[in-house]
Amino acid sequence: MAVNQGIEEELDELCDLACLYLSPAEKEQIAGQLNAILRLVSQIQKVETDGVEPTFYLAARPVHFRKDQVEPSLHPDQVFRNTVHRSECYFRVPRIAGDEPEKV
Amino acid sequence: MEYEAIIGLEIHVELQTRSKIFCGCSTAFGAEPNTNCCPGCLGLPGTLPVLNRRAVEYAVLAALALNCQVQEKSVFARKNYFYPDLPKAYQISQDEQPLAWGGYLEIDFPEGSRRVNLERVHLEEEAGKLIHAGDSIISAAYSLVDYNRAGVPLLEIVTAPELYSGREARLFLQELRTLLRYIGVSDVKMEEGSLRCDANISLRPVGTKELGTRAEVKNLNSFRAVEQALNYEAERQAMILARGGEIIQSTCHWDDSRKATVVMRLKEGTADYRYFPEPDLPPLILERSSIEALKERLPELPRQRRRRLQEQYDLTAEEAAVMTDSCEMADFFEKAAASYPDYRNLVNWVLGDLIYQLREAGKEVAQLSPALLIELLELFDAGEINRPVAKELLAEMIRSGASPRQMVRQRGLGKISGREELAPLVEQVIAENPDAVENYRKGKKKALAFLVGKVMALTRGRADPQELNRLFEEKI
Repeated sequence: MAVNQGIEEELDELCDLACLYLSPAEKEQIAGQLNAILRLVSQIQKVETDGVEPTFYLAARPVHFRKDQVEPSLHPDQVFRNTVHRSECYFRVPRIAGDEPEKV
Repeated sequence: MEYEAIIGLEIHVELQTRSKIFCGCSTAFGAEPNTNCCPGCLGLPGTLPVLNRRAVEYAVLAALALNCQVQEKSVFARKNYFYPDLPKAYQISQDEQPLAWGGYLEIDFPEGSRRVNLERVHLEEEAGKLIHAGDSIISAAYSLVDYNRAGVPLLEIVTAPELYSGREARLFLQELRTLLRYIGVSDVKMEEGSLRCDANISLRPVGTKELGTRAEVKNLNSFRAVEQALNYEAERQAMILARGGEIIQSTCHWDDSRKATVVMRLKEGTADYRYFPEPDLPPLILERSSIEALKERLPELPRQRRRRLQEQYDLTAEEAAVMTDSCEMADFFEKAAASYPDYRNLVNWVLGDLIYQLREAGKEVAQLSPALLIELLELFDAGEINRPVAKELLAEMIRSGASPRQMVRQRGLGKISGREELAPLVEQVIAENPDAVENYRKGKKKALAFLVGKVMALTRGRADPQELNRLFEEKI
């Protein structure tokens, strides 16, 4: 991502992917912050890292397995405790496919 | 211009573990919605995934059966997307370092055998199930979510674009289903969604190598739908190209009632998922020795076994296919064949009455002892019972597991073939049915069957019909 260039479009795309709505004032503020971050990243990117494996995990611990054993699940009252969008035994969400499909 | 279709499949298979991949909730199908859920699979903050060992074992077994190179190190990754089927807003999957690379499945197409290559096999978590209020996903006013399925271990298998028609795609999937069910890692039921398939399809002029723009076809819920949808989509694309149009990369939905594909959305690029290594799970390290140990556990695979059964027991290709539909069925047959040398008779009974009666009784072949079937066939071969009684005993034996020999003894079902026993019954029936006797004398052969049937009824099916035929012919 080039610094300063097209930052607004990049921000729009990120907002789109993250399902966020930003007001123009917020956008301006965040674009500035994002630019500062990108400047820092571009500085770091100058470091020669060819042949160096990225460090994704700080602790070199092996994966911990569990046995394939059924444990008790939550009571439905607890499952739905944090939602108001309950429809009997389901979570209710807005319709998924927003756009009218092209008929072929 | 003539085009050929190029098809690649992305297949999802639910592994039949008892509990989910990252938590202890049950994977049982058909439970009340949202009752197999815990803070982990509901994506509540502060929970951590803990990997189910059996899910990994099943995934490795499947990858080995598919001739893949199982990796000693693979990495779980977060696939970020906003869709309410996953409450965390990401799916734990694998991206750059999957469980296995490559692999292939040998398919016996009608035109000949061909190897269909795979690109990769990886492990991930299943998403929840969305139920769309209204007729379909497209006309739904709102959707309902059941998270029972969220977190069921899922195997993703991606083929190379090496299938060339809807029929080939179907045959590939059917072979894959047989294999996975056979090695016991999944129940692979398309109707319950434990085997699902999306397809990528593009066209290219015959004789060229470059792939055209592809469409992804979803909602393929049966083998028939896979074949029909891909043939439909190939034709749709050919029509667009024939008018000089351009194929737009898109995702289509197969509408099974209309038998048509409907474009749902323009395809997002893969980068949109913003994959990154899952910080809550360290890399999955598998020792070479443990991969080898799992390889040892694999049984003889269905395709090899089909071929061997054909040669060893002189089965037709179709018979061998039915016999190897499950490992249990093939094992049953071979155990029975070990002590019953008339293979042909055995095959006929197994593939005919036995399979039918198992289905009627809702039983699995594994619940039945091959020794009981042999006992029954030996009674029949020795002429101690006739065919209708044998069939009746078979059904009873499948229902209750009772010994056929004991049933014959206890219920007096042995065949009556002695003339001294049958002759009085024949005379009784002749006396009671003068019309039929008259008809037979006039040349109506069917009347004889009627008279024989009367004696069979009197003996509750135990009389020897051939002996009866002879007796009636003599006496009338």
